[in-house]
Amino acid sequence: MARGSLAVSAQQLDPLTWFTGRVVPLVYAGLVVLYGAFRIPTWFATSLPWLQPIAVALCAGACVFVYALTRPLRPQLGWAGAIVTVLIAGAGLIVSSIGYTGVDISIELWWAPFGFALAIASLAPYLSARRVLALGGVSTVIVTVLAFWLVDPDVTVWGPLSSMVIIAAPIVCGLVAAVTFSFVLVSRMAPIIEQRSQLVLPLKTTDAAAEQVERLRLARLSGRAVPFLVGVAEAGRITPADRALAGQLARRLRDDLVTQSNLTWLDSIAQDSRLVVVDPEHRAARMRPAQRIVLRSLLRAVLDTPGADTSSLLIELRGRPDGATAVAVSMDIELPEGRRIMHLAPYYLTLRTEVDDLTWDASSLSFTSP
Amino acid sequence: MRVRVLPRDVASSIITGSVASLGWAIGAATLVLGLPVVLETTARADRLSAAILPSGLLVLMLVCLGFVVWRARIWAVAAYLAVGFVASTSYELTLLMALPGSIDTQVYLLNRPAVALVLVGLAARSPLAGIAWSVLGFVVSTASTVLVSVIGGVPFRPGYGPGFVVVISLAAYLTLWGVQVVQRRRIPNIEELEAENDRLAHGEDLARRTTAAVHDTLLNDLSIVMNAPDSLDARVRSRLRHDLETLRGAEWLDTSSRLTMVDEQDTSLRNDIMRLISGYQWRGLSVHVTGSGDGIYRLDPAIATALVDALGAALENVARHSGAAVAEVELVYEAASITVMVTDEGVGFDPTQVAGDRLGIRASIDARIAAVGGTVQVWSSPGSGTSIVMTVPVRSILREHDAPHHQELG
Repeated sequence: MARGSLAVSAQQLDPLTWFTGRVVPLVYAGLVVLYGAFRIPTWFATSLPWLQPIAVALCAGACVFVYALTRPLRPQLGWAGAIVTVLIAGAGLIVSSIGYTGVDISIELWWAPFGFALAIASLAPYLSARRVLALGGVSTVIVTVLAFWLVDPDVTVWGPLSSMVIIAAPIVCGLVAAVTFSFVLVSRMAPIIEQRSQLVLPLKTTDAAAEQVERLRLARLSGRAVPFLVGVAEAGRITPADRALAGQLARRLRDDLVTQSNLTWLDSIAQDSRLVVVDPEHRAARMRPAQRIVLRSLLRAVLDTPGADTSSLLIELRGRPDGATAVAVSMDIELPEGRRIMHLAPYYLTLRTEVDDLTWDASSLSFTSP
Repeated sequence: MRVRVLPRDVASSIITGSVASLGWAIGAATLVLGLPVVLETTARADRLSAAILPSGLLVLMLVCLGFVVWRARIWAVAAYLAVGFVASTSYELTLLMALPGSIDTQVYLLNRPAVALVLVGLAARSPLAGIAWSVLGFVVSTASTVLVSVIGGVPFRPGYGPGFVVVISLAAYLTLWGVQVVQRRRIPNIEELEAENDRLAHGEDLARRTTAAVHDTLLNDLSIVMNAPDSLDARVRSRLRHDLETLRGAEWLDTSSRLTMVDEQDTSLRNDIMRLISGYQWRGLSVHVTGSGDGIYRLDPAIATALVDALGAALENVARHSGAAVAEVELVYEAASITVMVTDEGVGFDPTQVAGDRLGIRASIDARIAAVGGTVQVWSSPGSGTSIVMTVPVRSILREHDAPHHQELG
């Protein structure tokens, strides 16, 4: 369990939270700017004061970069994005170090290690604890040594070991916080999700309203045939007219039953909306309850999208050679892309937890139901 | 299976707990990183011996922090704050006695325990609780510095550390709170969707029952009327009345009043099967049963009903379509399932060429068995008969069915 918890990111496990929680890196960027501004008086004690705002911009920019990389429809944040983030923030720390070279500053109040730490921490929801630890660990050693080399000769209050520790402390704390957060969250959440996904929903055993509806349907189906058969049973004789009527009733009844039998849960949605379902192989019936739930929620969200042409919504299901079902959904939506994404992304992310190969472009969405 | 997404309140609680948990990690890192600073700073002042007590106090706070993580209870956090208050005060006073000038230039060295005291959000399960704990930690930390100021006769200088940490904590918890508010507005309510799906599945189950029942009664009876002789005998008339009564009562739709009759000698399933077979024998179809024995296998009532109904539909197909006069019914008992195999040597058919409007297997057998978690396999080809194998899960086994004696001997 511990090894598994190190290998999965919080976002992989719970994409919905980190869709709405995308603002976290922006908050970190704001804190970097605030702390940098708090130390503005020290900027003018240096010979190159313009380096500090550049460094602040780089550290804050690293957090904004994480924000940009984790937009809902983008792929998961990988090594490349994380390394670039660390390089940007590391550049900020080094630029700040260069700016403070030759100046006896209070290194315990130096904003740059804190800015670098927040950039590392902003990766926590999107990278596994193992990756944060590896990337953060290596970068912490490198930037701390470089910053120490640039700044320490001018520090008089502290010894070299203390200077090194004081420079490293915010970064180490940020790294520890990021790794702890990712590990604790995943190790607590993963077993609950696993147990939950294994849990079979108990079929509702009492629903008087549904039973009443079904009794009405039964009465409608049998309305003509039952009186006829009662009469035949009472008479004990069959006339040619009886045989003809029985054949006619049987054909109608069979048609009704076949129609009902061919209806899937998707057709029941189509009955209440203008959704067009193309499912010649009745593949919808093979989808698991969880898949039905997330697809139904997405379709409902699409149908509720303001500016959507609901008559253009089409869903098509086709079998694949490996037994899986390929699903394609398409629709015309006039909504601007940003608003459309914000409206549909939660449903898209929920769907992604239950299906494979999910892709989404301007007007269509496709996935595979394993 | 349920959706692999946690309800938002559960996810929020776990995330808040995780944010709170990182507090102890930062607190521990702060205390550990304070040790070399204490040692080097006292050594540079030739007062290394004065580092023993402060170092011991940092270690004591680390141990207390570990205890809080282990117990994770409110009383443990309160005890940590109390011990931390004493340790932090003693730490500062000891260092101030050894390094009097540190209050002016090395507040960072003095306020390490005070910073760790602010990071006590461990017990928080909601953002508001996290804020409350952080503020309480800050108050205790500040009180410790005030006490040091009074006892040591030095200026009140807590440094930026504790205040900075409490501001960060407040920002973190307020952000979390904001995220959770947005989530409640934007994120689909999974529980509600699952409940809706449950209702629809229930409706589909009822529709499937109706389709199967109407197919097995009305449609078959109409077929009888179309093909029977001019005069109906008493047995056919009785069957028509029985079928009509079945439809009139529609008891198969009443899911609320289903009772599970349990007793050691429960033989209702066997009786139902034998009654069914007897009915077909009256209609001219000889049914040979093999594999029955003295075992007692308990099935859920819904499964038993589905099995009997599906067996009836299979025998109906043999009687009406196969042209065979004999059907074999074999029961196979396994640890977790019972398999019923219906075989005939009739005309057979190509299963891949069954018309879409034929419901005899799809609705009356396949759908019934699948709805209760069982499986159906059909083997047939034109001219070589048909085998239908239906397997359903067993709830419990009261007594194992004895293996056939030829197996024991073999």
